This record gives sequence, structure tokens and C-alpha cells, in this order.
Amino acid sequence: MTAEDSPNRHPPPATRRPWWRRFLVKGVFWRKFLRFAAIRVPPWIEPLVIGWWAGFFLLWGPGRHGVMSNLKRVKPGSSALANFFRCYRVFWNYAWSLSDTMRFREMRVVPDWEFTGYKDFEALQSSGGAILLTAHMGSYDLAAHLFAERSGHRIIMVRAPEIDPETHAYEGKRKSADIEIVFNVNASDLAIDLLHAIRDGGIVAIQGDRVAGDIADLPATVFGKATRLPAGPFALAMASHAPIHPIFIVRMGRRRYRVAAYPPIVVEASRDRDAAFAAALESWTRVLEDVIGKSWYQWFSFEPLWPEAA
Amino acid sequence: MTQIIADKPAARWLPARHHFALTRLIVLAVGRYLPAKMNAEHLLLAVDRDQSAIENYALSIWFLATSACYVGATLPLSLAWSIILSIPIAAFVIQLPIYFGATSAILMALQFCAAAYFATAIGPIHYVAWLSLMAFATNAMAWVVAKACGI
Repeated sequence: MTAEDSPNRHPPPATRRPWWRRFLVKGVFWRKFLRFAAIRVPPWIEPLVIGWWAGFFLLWGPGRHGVMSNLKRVKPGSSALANFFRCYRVFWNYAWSLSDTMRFREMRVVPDWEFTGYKDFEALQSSGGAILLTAHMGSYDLAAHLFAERSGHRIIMVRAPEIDPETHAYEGKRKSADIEIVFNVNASDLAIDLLHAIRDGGIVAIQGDRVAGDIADLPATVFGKATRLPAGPFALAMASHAPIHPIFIVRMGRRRYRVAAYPPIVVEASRDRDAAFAAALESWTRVLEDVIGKSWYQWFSFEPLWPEAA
Repeated sequence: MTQIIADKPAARWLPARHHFALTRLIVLAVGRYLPAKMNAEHLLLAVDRDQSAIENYALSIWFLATSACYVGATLPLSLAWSIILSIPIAAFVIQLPIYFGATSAILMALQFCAAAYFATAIGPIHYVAWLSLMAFATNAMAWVVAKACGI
């Protein structure tokens, strides 16, 4: 089997399912509706439309429980009522990020960009092969296009497959030509593909703030509470000798995003893998806490990071 | 291809980053006095006529507030209940034409028709309607001026 045939590159075929499932929160209907809205809604009425739909999904979708559970940890001592309104702010920002991404994909509408840690961002752009570690914040899809355009590097984004097979197939068909998206379906095949990509000078973008599905993880302490974070980026960094660049995309306002780059994390190649991973993971969690603490209102983690807190 | 301006925060107030003739003229007149701080290490600003946050939020709020007033005026309820219910109803009703294919121009035409209808109504609603008609008229005049000046 060649790399192109790998199941990580192609979504699984959509199987026949009851028609009404496409209307569930993660169903394909809402992706199509989002595309329709991004194309048809006049920009000057967008705040109203987004405010309405953010409220709709806040009340309907199961994501609210995950966000409120995470907010309990990020903002200790906060009341459930305050967190409900904070949760609306998270949904509001998420809706804007989705809309901006869709408008870029369909109409090439670009937002304004601001950079902090620009020296570290340039280090990523000039590096020959690196790992871009980020979180579920802002519009990471949009940022990947920016990196691809500015750096000229091959960008490979690793994503969890969509839960709904029809949605997965739909997103698979609409993949952008600028960046490669691989789904972490088959971990061992994917690791080899990504290792080759880094060695060939590519940038592998991974979200390291959540363990999704059946992937290797490591114990970590985030906001003073034990949890588990993905092991993949650190194992890949050790195997490829490539640095990990923590980079976050923070939505600052309407069509305005900030790229916040942090100093690279180096995973020492040593016989004591656990100690090397632990040191790198500690650096990562410090960065993660800093960014999430400041920008909790756009941490789009709809599953609880600390499941026992749910 | 969208034009990008790097590291010039004053470019935020370019008329070309605004959609409506009235706001284009306003930023042309007062843009140089508006804050333009470089609050990042590097800045990339897109020159797109729908880029202005202030313009878009202001217009969205005006459109919702005016529509809510019209809905409130038609509801056969007490003033308190009309105020409470008119906002969510208006927020929903405004979107309906979009899902049936209405464009930006059609939405504005509908708003104009509603203003023209309520301008003849009795009660405070006609002030809201006249204010909307004045906004349309001012923007139309600004459009003529902007065209004449090549803005």
C-alpha cells in the first residue's frame, strides 16, 4: 500500500444511515448549511446571524457541558451561571471562527493578522521540517493557509476524523489544495508518514490539548489537575529530531486574528524516554495554561479535559 | 486577490475597508484622528470593503433594533411583553429572506419598504421609521458624493 492509499489520507466511505441523523449536531446538514450561510449572508448582518445560531447551538448541543466543565477548572470558584454566559462567549467565538474559515475557503476572504513572538514564528518558517503544536483555538484551518502561503513549506494537518461518517466524507471532499489533511485513523502508518514529511522539510501541525479517540497519551497536570495529553507530537519530535513550535491562533475581533508564537520545545533524544517526554510535556503544559488562562473564551474544547470534573 | 498592507496600523481606517458610502466618507473625514496604534510585533491588514468591525456591528445593531421596533408595534401585547418578545422574533424574522435567497440589496429594500410603511403609522413608531428613511437618504447622498469624488 502506498502513502497515498493510506486510510489516514482518505475518509472512510459513508455508510447508509437513517436520514434524520444528518440533522444531529455533528451531522452533515449543518456543515452544508454553514457553507450556504457563509456564501449568502451579507457581512453586515453576520453579527446578528452568528449571535442567533451561537445561542441555538449553546442550548441544543452537548458541547455546552464540556465547555462548562473545562471552565470550572480554568476559572476555579466561578459560578455555574457565570460559566453559562462564558460558555455563550465560547460558542460565539467558535461560530465566528467557523464562518471566517468557510468564507476563506469559498470566497478567499482573508482576515487581518497580528503577530506576537514573531521571532519564534520566523524560526518556524525558516526551519527545515518542524512540528507545529497548537490547541483548539481560533481558526487553525485559516492559519494553516497563512503558513502555507508565507513559508512555502508543505503543511500537513493532523486531525481527528469526524464522528459522523457523512460529515467526514463531506469534509474530505472539500479539502483545500494548499494544505494536506491527514486523519489519525491508523496511528502506526500515520507516524511513518509524518516522520517522512518532517524529514522532507514539511511542517506537521497537531493539536495537543486533547486526547481524541484511541491514541497514545501521556499523564500531565494542567491547571493543577491530572489529565492526559497526546503523546504523538513528543514521540514524533524525538524520532525526527525536529523542534516543537507552540503556536496559537487567537481571535481578537471581527476578521482579526493574532498568531501567538512561543519559543520552541526540544525533545532530547535520550535513553530515558519518559524523563525526556515529561520535561517536554511540562514546557507544553506551561504554555497551554498561559494561553488558555488568557483566552479561555475561545478554547474550543467541547469535551471535558478532566473527565472526572464533568 | 486581496491587497494586504503590512505594519501600517493607520490603514485600519482606509475608506476602502468600509462598505457603505456614508461610512467611507466619515472615515475619509475623520480617519486621520482615529487611534492607530501598533499593538503587535507585526501586522497584516486586508483591504476588503467588508473588513470594518465597527461598521458591520453598528449596522447589524441598527437593523435589529429597527426591525424589533416594527415587530413590537405589530404585536397585540402590552408594551413590556412587546419589548421582551420583539427582539428574538425580529432576530429570527430578519434571517428568513436570506434562507430564501435574498441578497444584501433585497434585505435593505425590505427594510426601506417597512420604514416607508411605518412612517405613516400613528405613535412613536413613525419616529423610528423616519430615522431609518433619513439614514437611507443620507447614505444615498453620500454615495453620490463618493462617486463624484472617486472615493
